[in-house]
Amino acid sequence: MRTLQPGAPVSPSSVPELSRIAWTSVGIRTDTAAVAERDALGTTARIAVWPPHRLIAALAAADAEIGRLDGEASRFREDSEISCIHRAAGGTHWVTHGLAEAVGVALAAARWTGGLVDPTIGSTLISLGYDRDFSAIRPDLDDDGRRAPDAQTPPEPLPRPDQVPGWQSVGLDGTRLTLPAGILLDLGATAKGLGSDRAAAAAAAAITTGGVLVSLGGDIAVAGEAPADGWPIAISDSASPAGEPWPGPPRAPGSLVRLALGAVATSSVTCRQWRRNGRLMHHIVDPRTGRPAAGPWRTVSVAAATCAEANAAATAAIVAGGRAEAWLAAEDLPGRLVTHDGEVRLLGGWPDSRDWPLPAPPLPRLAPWPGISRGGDRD
Amino acid sequence: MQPENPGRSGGLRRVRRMSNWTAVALIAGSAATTGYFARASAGHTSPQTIASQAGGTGTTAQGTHKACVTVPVATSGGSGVTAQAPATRACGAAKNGSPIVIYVNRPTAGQDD
Repeated sequence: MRTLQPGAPVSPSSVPELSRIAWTSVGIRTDTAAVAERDALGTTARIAVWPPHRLIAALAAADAEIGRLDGEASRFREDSEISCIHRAAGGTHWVTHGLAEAVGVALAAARWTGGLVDPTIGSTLISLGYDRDFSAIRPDLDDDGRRAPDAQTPPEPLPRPDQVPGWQSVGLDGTRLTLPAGILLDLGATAKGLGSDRAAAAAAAAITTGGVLVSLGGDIAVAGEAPADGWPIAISDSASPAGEPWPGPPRAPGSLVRLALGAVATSSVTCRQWRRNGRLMHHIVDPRTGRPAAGPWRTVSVAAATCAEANAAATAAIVAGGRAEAWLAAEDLPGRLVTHDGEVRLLGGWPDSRDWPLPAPPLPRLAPWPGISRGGDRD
Repeated sequence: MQPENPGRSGGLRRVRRMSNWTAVALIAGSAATTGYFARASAGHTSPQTIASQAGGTGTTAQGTHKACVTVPVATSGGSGVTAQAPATRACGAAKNGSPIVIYVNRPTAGQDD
């Protein structure tokens, strides 16, 4: 068995020479699994595989899925399918099965959460300043390039919030997508989760033995056979003043878990921040107000059967505010909620000791959209 | 045909019965011993043990043939940002390691493959 060492380039002798993708090996101080990562979808994609010699096969399979999702659903790529549809300014379009699935999952999440996550917030996010890939946004500067005022300067009023059109205004029948004029879709609450689900399934099928973990920006799905006791995962409470990821106290409750089945995702208002009229903004918009969510939680992590579901539930919990605990409990989803003061609440069997397995996920809560099959059946 | 001696045949039956029970006991004992050693050699670790090993070299769980990964391989952090484990890194900071080059059949934007 060949073990990939950090820094060791790998010859792609068995892979067709079509599109060259560079991943970076990550040292994890063990030779029982291999890990690699690269920038993707405006964030970081990371893949862990056991047995380690199957890493290349897993990367190739996952990469194809990540690239497919990027081409379908990124609103920051001018040549993406969804950008082409947005440029048409409404109307009915026949879309690929992949985009239909992504939109279907977003609509199903909106229906499931009672509209707490809503894919029709695209134009609202743009009006708030999240109008380009986040790597191109300067969090320390206002949208006109001025340095943000200090805390003593009263912020200017924000423009009147846009009315979020509402997910019910989107029509999706199989691969027939109907968008009213003026609606821009943002699939951010579900798309990375869906990408992790797709990539993990594809990678697990490619490696044929063992298991795989896929993380897209911290939205994590596992597939295949997990290592003994599950994949160890750190849970981060991104809370530094600059919005940088911060692992939190090393023994914070529930900050190290093991995932054997399903997925875990985290949403936080402390990352992806920028300034607008002197106000600190973040990317989780409350569709009811058209403003960044202002509830008691700064970070919410949820475990679920699929990563799309975990992703949607974590975002919905941030938006739900004081009702989040009751909603997660009613859905029987394990959750870890952190208040703005740093208090940690654990729900649904989320382990409170270090390095403890997450409970087996409940049956999927996110019902498929009618006419849309999960798994991306193709033309 | 000689009539069977009842005293002798009863003794034989007792001996056979004892032999059978002895065999059963030996088989059961062997199975228990085998199970004990199999279990002991599997290196089963409790969560507390795993926690204390975190950061050390991983071991393969013999018997189950499953990897035993003892250090976090990923971090679930704020949506859209990956705070990597075990190294602490900022959003978009440089990565460790060197390139692993792969070649994939990537569909163009918006096409099913």
